[in-house]
Amino acid sequence: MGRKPKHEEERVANRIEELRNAAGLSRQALADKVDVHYQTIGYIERGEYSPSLVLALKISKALGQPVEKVFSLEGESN
Amino acid sequence: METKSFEERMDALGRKADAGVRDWVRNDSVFNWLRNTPARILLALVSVGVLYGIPAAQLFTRNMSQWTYIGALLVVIVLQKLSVRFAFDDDSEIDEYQMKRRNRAYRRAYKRIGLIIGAALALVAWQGIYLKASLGSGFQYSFDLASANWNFAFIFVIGLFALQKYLSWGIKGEPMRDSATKH
Repeated sequence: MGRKPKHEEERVANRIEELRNAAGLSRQALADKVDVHYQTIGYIERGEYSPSLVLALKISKALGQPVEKVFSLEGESN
Repeated sequence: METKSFEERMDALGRKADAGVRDWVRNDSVFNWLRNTPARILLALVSVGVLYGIPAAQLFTRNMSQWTYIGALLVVIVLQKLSVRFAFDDDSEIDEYQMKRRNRAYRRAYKRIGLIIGAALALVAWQGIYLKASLGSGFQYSFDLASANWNFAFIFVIGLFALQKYLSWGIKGEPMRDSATKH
């Protein structure tokens, strides 16, 4: 019942850093494209924060990739 | 026609000012020295010291100035606001991560203020029971505090509500070396 404890919550893995570097974008540039603070991009890249679906779609679009190529559930490969 | 043009100019000026404020709040680096984890720990200690220390000193010395208390509280509140990029002041300036963290801080602050007030009431009740047991005069508080002490009490309560959300934000700050990967 209720929410799972934080350590049991499913985490979202991502390839933002890799794809961002490949696209030649800084964190700040990507953050500006998706209208968030650049630190938020850092938190997402490090897996410390799982973005909303809207933000995940915006990031994928900014990186020119389908969302499933950028995000996955931890333990699953793309 | 001229009025419309004036309105348009004012609208454009307003939008430009909003965008400028938004950009400053999100990307300011002048106050980054307040935003890393060690700075947040230090700021939390100073805030707690001011909030509880000055009224505690007043209890013992009776010579503290309420204006000193107000001034010190205002300084730590402004520093806390800068430290969290005004996350509690305007929804439109913060993104979804900051909003999630802000909401968590509000939840924690609500609980902690309840605990602090509950603990204070428990202390009063305990003193009443203790006095009744030892002196036969429990729960007979005259509340004849001097007006200066009442002022300190009111300032403390206002300070508690103003600061607790910042103390509940958490000590994790922005990475100190992130500027290296920022650009």
